[in-house]
Amino acid sequence: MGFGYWLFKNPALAGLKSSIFMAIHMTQECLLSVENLKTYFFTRSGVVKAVDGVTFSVHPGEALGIAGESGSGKSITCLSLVRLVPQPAGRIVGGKILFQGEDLLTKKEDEIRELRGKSIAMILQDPLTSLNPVYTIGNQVGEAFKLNGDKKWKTIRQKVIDILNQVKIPSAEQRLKDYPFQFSGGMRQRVLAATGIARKPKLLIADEPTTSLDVTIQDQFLRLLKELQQQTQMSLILVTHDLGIVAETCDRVAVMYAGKIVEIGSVERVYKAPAHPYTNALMKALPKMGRKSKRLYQIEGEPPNLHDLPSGCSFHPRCPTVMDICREAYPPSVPVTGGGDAACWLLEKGRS
Amino acid sequence: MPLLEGQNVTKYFPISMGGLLHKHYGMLKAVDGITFSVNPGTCFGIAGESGSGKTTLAKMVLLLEKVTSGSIFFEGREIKGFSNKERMWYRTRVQTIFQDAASSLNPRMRIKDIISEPLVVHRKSMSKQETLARAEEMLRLVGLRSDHMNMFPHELSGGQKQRVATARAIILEPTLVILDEPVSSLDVSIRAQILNLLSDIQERQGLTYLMIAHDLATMHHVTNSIAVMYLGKIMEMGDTETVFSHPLHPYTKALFEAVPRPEPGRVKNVPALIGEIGNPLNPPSGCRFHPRCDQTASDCRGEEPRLREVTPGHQVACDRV
Repeated sequence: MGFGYWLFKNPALAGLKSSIFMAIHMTQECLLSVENLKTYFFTRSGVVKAVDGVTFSVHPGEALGIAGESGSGKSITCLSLVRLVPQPAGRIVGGKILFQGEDLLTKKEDEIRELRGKSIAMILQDPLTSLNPVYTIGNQVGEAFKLNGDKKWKTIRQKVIDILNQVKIPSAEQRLKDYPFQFSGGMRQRVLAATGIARKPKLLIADEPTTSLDVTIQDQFLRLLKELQQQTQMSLILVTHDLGIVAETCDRVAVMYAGKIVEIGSVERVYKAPAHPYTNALMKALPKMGRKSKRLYQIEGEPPNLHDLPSGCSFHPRCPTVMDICREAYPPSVPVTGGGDAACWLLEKGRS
Repeated sequence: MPLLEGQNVTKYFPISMGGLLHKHYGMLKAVDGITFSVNPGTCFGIAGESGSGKTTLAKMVLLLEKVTSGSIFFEGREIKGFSNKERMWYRTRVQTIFQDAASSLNPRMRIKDIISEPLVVHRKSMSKQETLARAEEMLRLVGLRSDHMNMFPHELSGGQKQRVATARAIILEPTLVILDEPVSSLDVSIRAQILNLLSDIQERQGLTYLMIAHDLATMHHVTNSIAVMYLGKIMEMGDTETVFSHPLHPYTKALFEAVPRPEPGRVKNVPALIGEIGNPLNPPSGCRFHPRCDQTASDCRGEEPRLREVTPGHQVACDRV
């Protein structure tokens, strides 16, 4: 009784209680939660706010797509997650990255090193530059197991063969001794996927993994990625500029523009009813298979220069529904009907 | 009469190694006997994965590569036998926009010089003022401002560079423009601008386009007829609408299915295409697609299927349809 009972019964505190409950619940449920992340680059010609206040979360087993054009900050967001922002120009200047409840930004360098590959793995865009040309594939994939504590080459070798089979590399046993140049683009990307999942990470970050691949090979790889994700129950962050890939691979999508997330939500909701004018315009501007129109919808202007961002909402010079307030202040992120959030004054107005 | 016509065009690259003891290994069959025709005022698309020979074909049309056998006709004249003078004339009629606009612009030249260079080469009698006035006119036509004239390429964005490349291609008022992956290096929001610009210019100048791209959604939007290439051969060719609504060749079907579409919840009813594109040095026997085909039969390995007309204007190189 007493204070605890009062706290429990008091109707005035019901809202607060539920929000505390939600907060506890959310942090427990999220594998990764990024809060107000800011990564700036300090260059001779000024500060470039590559990532400017990004907030999102990833649940266990979920695939989150980060979509955006070049320069929108999607790759830097991912590099920030594993603290690999190009030094010394780039610095994470603010925010929190909570991975399994621990803030990665307060960790020491060797603690982060321990985490990379083991809990958070990454696949990069160009497989040829990620693989060392003078080591065999077996050697490079085996490195992950060596780091994991395996000492005997025999056990490592068997594990490498198993994982190469898992990513469907034909005759893996013979190909162990091959060098990266002897592999095709699609196969190299599979090797990288193998090194990525070798230590059974909780989160896999794939940054434009299929950009250098042909359509049919891309299809093979994305299906494989999806399969691996379902088998291992890991979470996936997929960075891409291709909205088609996001629709087919991800559960939720975050659309980035000029260093900020303008809209986030379930793939179904964002594609069917985009709330932010930028997302809406992107969807309309996309040439679609099977639907031929005389003219494509076009977004006027160019993506902004990060050195010299427009005032207020960065999208306002290109926005068809621009208002006075858009030029003055950046809109807050508000919930959208159907789930998710979007940052636009139109939505804010609609609410009030 | 078709504007551009190819008859049994082949391009083999000899593969050899060593200096003194020259050893000949074989022939890389980049383009292996293809026949096509492009009608004036239309856009003809060539789709295919890397290694299918689409860029080699474009280079032959541009006289940048010699045809190994077969012939290419432009306005009924064979381009192989052109004299130097005729070549100069041909190059005023046929222009190109390269894949990577940024690297096709000389970084040490100003935009006005880049755009007016074709005039300097081909219209020697034109005065300097006239040339510049014409360049400025082109610049405005492609949606840039006059103050871009004195800039250097690095001062422009990707989309603007693509516009400069477009202006340079059309300043001589050619009849045929070859577009090699015109939008693949651009962002989505810029892509639509450039595609719309290209179609506006086509309408205004009565241009004919030969477009090479791997992005099938763009292809569907832009082209009137399309050829799907695989390992140097045309697998399917016809009117774009027909090919996209009723693809017949197993490769075309698989290719269309593989394109990621912005339609959440779409269920792919075809399994992913197995394997990778074959080796052009030693292509598979019979139908080149048979090792990856899900409908392959024993006779697919024997004789190579010929491109045959299934319905008027729709050709397929598969005996099983």
